[in-house]
Amino acid sequence: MHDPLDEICEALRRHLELPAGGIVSGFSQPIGEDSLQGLHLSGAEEIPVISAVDGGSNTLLRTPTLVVVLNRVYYNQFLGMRKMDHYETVEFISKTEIIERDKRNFFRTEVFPLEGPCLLSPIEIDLKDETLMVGTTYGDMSRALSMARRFCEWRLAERAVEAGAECILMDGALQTAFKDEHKVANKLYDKAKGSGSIVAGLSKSTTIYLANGFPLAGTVDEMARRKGYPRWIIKLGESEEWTHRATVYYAKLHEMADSGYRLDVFEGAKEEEVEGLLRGLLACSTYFGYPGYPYPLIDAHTYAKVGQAEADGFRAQILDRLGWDECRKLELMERALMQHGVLDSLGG
Amino acid sequence: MEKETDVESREVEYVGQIVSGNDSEFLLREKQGAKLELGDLLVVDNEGVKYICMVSELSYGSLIAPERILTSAGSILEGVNPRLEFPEKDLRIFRQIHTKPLLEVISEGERMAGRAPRSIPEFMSKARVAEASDFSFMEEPRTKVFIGDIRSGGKTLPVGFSMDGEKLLSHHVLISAQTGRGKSNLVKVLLWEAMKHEKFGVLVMDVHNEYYGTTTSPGLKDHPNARRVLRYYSRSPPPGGQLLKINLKSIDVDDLKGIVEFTEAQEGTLEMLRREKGAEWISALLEWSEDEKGSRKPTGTIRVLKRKICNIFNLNETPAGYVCEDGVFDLGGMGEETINDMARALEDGKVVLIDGSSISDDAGLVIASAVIRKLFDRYEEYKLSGTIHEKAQIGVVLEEAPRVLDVAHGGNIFSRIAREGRKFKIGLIAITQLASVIPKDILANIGTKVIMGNEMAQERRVLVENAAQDLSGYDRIIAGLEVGEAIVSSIFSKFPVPVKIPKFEEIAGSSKAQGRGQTQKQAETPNMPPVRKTYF
Ligand SMILES: Nc1ncnc2c1ncn2[C@@H]1O[C@H](COP(=O)(O)OP(=O)(O)OP(=O)(O)O)[C@@H](O)[C@H]1O
Ligand SMILES: [Mg+2]
Repeated sequence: MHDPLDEICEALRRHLELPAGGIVSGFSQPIGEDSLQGLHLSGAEEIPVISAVDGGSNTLLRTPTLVVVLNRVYYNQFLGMRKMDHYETVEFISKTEIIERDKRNFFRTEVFPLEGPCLLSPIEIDLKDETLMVGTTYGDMSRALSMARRFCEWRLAERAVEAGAECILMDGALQTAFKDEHKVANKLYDKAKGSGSIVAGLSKSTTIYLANGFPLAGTVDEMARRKGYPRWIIKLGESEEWTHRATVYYAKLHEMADSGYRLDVFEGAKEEEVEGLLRGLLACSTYFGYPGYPYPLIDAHTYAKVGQAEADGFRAQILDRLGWDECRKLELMERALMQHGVLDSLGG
Repeated sequence: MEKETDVESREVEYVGQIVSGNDSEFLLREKQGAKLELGDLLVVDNEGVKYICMVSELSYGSLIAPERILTSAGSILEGVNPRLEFPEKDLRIFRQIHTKPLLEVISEGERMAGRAPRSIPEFMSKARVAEASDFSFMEEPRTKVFIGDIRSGGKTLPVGFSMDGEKLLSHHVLISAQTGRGKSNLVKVLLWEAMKHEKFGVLVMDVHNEYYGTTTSPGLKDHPNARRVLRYYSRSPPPGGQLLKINLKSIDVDDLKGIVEFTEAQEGTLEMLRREKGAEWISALLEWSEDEKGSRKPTGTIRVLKRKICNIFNLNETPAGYVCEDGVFDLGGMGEETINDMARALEDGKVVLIDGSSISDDAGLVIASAVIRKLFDRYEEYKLSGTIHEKAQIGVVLEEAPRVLDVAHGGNIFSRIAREGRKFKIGLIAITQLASVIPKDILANIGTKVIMGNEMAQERRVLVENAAQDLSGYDRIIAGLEVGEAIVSSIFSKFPVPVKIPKFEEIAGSSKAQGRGQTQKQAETPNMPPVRKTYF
């Protein structure tokens, strides 16, 4: 056994002998084939109005200590695959920079609305805040600059509830990553609970794994295949580690879907509300270009997206207003971040 | 209250947006439900300039991975999983419109002026469907000959397209179409238009006798000016018509050469006959007795020539000598002035219409050749004396033109018109189904090509290659032209003009209706006073 590739294959084979179940890391109760539920297509039952919320952004200017970003957050309303007339867009430029106060450094983000209401007041966060740490490095700018958009998504979701959405569908997990983000999330939860709406998040990919070392994705898909369910859902439970006050599911919403998706439902949801949500999700996940993925999220993504051309246009407008010498200095600072690709372009 | 604001505040309905392309083609994303078709005219409005273009190709566009589309389509098609949907306003699937830029219209102060495209519209410009006012730049020619209404795909716009008669005729016209697409109708329309001016001499050998008209169907006889400018020759003429009787002395050996094939020996004999007998050469040939005085001439050649001449002119030998079966040709003393009369009528700006239905095609061409030869003689003199510019512009309608224009017949009078007729104000209106057989240099000499529907790819290619404008990419458009629809490619227009030629009965009919209550439609036909129309 000396061929390294043979050894790799040997390891892979062990990895592919998927277990029948086990404890999901970070969750308490074990899962097995019996935890899996087939999803049936609803007959005449009512489906809820779903509002999908998504945000998009693109960087306009970036020096190591100051970043200007164009953000757009959007929600819609769907009944099954049918888009309803109501939607809302919030568009703003966010400027995040490192400032010094009392011998300490902070990231300070200010927002400048372009369209829609201003949903955020300035955010300040200590550079040393652990929610901005990546590994052992403090104060990751890339993380800091996405805070504004993320907070805004939570805030706009509140407006979607006010507008009458029975289910709020966020892009991604119901996780809070930044300092004080949980406060914004809680506000949404409270508002939703108050008006009988439910909040869910859907993630295209997941790294959740079983304590025995196997990924959740694949293991559960295999279990479902053995059971013969074309569409299914499995409840993983609650987890401090993976979510913020939510129950995590893993579900496949269309028989032609390539895989299952992680679905988070906030803790305030009643059982029949979850059932309603699932009926709604099944009904809106039949897009021929991406079966199994809720079409309202595809729609929200489309309208939230900030394209490169659009960002270039804004950047040009900003540079237009600067003097020649100012532009030169700006470029100098930007260059510190733009050395990627130079080595590649040298070939070899 | 100004009316202006009314017009300006009207909301524009866009049908597409330019998403890529270059100066020879703009690619548009089609607005859902716009349902554009091949040949449709679109307009892109930019500051101070608008671009008019024609839909030349339609294709699909999608932002979804091809594999996914195929899988989904398969599952719907095979009923494996019909639970897949296409949302109503899906932005990821769409139709793409390929368009050919026709021209730029620029505003020069108050005026609008059209010119060949020199630039391209702003990226992402929106396009709308063309309307009549977009063609307000077109100017009225001096002696206008109406060809048809501007056409956007299958829909006609209330904008007439006319050309200057002098230019049109002097630089030759090609009318090319597959059978039944409306060639004869167009000729009738052109003749009708020409007759209005009383100054175009047009010779028409009407082999099907379809232009004059009958008691039941309208024709050129119904033209208001018919009494003055139409001369109709027929074997059995109606009242007012002329008897078609032609003395064979008016026919020259050259009129046969280039139409009928002769061997070298036969040609030699014909030349000799002409030298020795002059205008009497046909009688002399026919009277030739085969056992004549130890002749130097080969009797076989004589026999064959006799037979050919008899066939062409439908002559039969009787005890009383040769007689023409249908009575059109005469070997005696009748019809000596007919060819001359015809030539003179043409010179006087009349349409000379010859009913060729009772004679052979060859005989018809021979008559036409004789007339044109006369005209050439006279016009050559006028040119020498410097008076030619006062003379009527002549046109010669040539049906099945390739028969006499092909390479084998390079020496005849029709080829001569095509090659040098312009100098002598004699032009061709060549009609054909097979433009590909016409020599390239002649095609290149034809200033105006009316391209009508044609299913033969080879023919379309020749037409596209020899057009006055770049028509590459028009192949599908030409293939799809319906009866009466045409693309006019002329050196006198700045763009290939899509037109719908009116049905002759419509324009002839509306001329009769003149004076009575006119409908909107009638008011727009060409023979009405040109109050609300614009012309090129
Ligand atoms: N512009 C037009 N609009 C409507 N109908 C037309 C038009 N032109 C021709 N037609 C009709 O189409 C038919 C054929 O027309 P026409 O005889 O002119 O065709 P053609 O090309 O000369 O055919 P052929 O090859 O047999 O000589 C006729 O019935 C005629 O009435
Ligand atoms: Mg015809």
